[in-house]
Amino acid sequence: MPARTNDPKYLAILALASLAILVVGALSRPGGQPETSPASVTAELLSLERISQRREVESIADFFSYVASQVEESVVLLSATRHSGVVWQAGEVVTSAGLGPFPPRDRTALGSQEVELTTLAAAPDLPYVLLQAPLEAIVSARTPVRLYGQGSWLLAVWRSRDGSLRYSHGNLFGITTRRCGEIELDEVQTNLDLGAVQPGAGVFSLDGGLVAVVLDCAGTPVAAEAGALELQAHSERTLEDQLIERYGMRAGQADEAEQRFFGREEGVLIRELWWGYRAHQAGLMPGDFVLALDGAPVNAVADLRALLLPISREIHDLSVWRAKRRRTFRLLSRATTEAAVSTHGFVSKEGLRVESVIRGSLAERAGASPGDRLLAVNQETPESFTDLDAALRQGQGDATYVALERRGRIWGTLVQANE
Amino acid sequence: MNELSSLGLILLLALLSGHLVQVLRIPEVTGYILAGMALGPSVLGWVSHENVQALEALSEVALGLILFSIGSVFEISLVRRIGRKIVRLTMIESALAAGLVLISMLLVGMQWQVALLLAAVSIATAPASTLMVIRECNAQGPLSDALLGIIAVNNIVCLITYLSCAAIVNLIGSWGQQGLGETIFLAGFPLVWQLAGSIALGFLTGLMLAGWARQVTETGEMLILLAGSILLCVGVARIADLSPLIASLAVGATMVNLSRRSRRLFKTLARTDPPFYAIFFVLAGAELDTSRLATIGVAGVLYVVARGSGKFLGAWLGSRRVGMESRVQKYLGFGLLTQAGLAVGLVMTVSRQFPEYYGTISTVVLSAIVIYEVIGPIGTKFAIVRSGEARMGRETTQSIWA
Repeated sequence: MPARTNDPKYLAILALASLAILVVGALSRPGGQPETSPASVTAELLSLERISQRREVESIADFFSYVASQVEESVVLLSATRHSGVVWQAGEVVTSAGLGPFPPRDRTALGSQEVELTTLAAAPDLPYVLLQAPLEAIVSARTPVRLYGQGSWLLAVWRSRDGSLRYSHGNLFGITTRRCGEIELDEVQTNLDLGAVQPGAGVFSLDGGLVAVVLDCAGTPVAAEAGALELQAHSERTLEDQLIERYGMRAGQADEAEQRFFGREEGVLIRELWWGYRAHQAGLMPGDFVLALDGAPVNAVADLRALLLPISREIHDLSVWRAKRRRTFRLLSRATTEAAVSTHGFVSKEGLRVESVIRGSLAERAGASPGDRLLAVNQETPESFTDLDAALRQGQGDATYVALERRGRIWGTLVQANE
Repeated sequence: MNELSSLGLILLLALLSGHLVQVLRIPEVTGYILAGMALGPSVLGWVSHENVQALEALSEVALGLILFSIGSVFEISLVRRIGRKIVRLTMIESALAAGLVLISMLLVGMQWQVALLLAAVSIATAPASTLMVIRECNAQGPLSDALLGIIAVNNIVCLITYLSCAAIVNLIGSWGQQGLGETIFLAGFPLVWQLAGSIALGFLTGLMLAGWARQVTETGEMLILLAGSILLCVGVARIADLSPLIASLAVGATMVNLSRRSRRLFKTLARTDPPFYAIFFVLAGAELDTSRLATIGVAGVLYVVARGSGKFLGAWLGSRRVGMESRVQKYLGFGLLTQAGLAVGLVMTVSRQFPEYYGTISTVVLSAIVIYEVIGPIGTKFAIVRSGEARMGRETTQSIWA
């Protein structure tokens, strides 16, 4: 055999035999064993996969807890209102406004210290409140929400009433614009259960950036995008805005119809008041014409500037025209502690409650909705339908002046019968 | 870490560990394997499972080349000279190792099927690390010749034994469920197919290689020809469910007997192969799961002891019976401890064929391999040095086949 190793014939026979073995073998191979993993291995792999998935979920939960602990120091509990707040700028805390005036001062624990916060900006028409915190407060970095794609994780972090840290997670779905009181907000769309979240909670990204603040917007919790809210909060306030903020009062020049109805040409007309604020506490009502402030005649809103001067009297005398009589009201320029009304549990019981509104009626033209309270008609306060009927008869010509209250806002409207 | 940086790290660390272990007088291959274990997923994790898988092709080339070179021991003149002795010796050491493993596994209360398959797997001796040590020591002499011959024959014996045992387990397991003819065919086909088919594939590839090599004169072309042939052979073997190991051996055996230029071919390769081996052994180390040592258990320890004792006893008894020199009788057993690639391959086959026994067999074999891969090359070097066949420093050879 060795002698034949280089014999071409011999090699050709061997090659053919090899080829035959390969061809026959390949053709007659039984169905073939499956290349998939055997049952026990598959079960083992599945079990490993389940363990690894469970670990992943557990590690995600741990990570949420870690993120919450990272932002813990910039989420505070306000003692008086029991609201959560977020330290969003050096020395500034933002929280959600509630019903009624916000107290001028509040306290909170920052780190291990109990510190006093001063209310910087709180207005009945604004859904947020700004408070001044000591400068050493730890600030949470703000992150423009547009940096995050749809589905990014968000974490709402707040403090419960006993001060313990709470958080819940959800995802980001985008931003829409939403009208909230007098302002427009950028609302962060999310599947976070905001109903279960304390107002004033911070909504954070997983890298600890502040994305939004949860605000109470006419009873609906809204995640307001932090960047846009900050711009809004620090924009310049007009004289009218400042009157609202400080006294809960909006006044303006009366138009011809109003002048004719009330029989006055001079003075400014009070159009809107906020329940519990100083103007309301002083007894003013929509439909009042302010004729003089501390003896000086008032012919335009600018004449009320004395009310806002930093150094001014503690009590202002307002000479007001109401129901064809001149009256004087005393307006406190500085809020006292007693004047601070809790924002919780506010219920107005004055006037008549509007149960339903008939289409095309005077009530509809006045802008009334079910649930509103009818406070005055032609400057008379009705306590029954008989009073209401009598008050309606006292109108001047075909016009009727109606004052309504809704969630603490009291406003007056002159409704023409022929409208 | 990506594949390229892993590869760089593997090569540099292999070199470094090779130098370091020389100080400790243990084989370079042990250094490579230890470096691989350190870099691998079970320790530092710098080389991940994904990296190992991505670099698998390089390992395949290296293993193909190693087995191709081992095939050269089937040169007919050599076979005629020591073939009969080697076959007898291998049969004796394999039978004793398998016998002791079978008895010890049955004694610890394992199912007979598991004990039988473990006994078959225990025969395997790793060719690559044994050859690396022979090369490193530049060894020549009867012990080295015997070692080379045994590892070539041993792997074929191991494969035949495993396939026969698997056929028996299959035959008894499916007795009565199918017709007798079908049962025998299904049980016996893999045995015949893997042996005859692999040899046929290797022979055809070797024939093509030898014929083409006559036309090739340039060194670079020769390398391309060899690498291409080996890769093709290993690839086709995988597709056809043949044994790449036996097919590569057959290419080497065909080549050495047909081509006068085979020596030249081996010398050409000698200048280019070391990086492949470094990668092969570091990756082999990286794939060892050191955490398995914790699960080795009584059965694992018994397997290690029984296989080791069987190899020692078998080598001693076998070499005595075939009349080998006394130094071969004394030290041959140390050179047969290594166990790696073929055993892992057989465990994978068990996972497909007998999933019900896979858990036990894989725990025992894979943990034992961690031990054998570390101590095996040290034993081989000890045997070569003690028998006086090491010629380190006398001559510098670049390759295991140079």
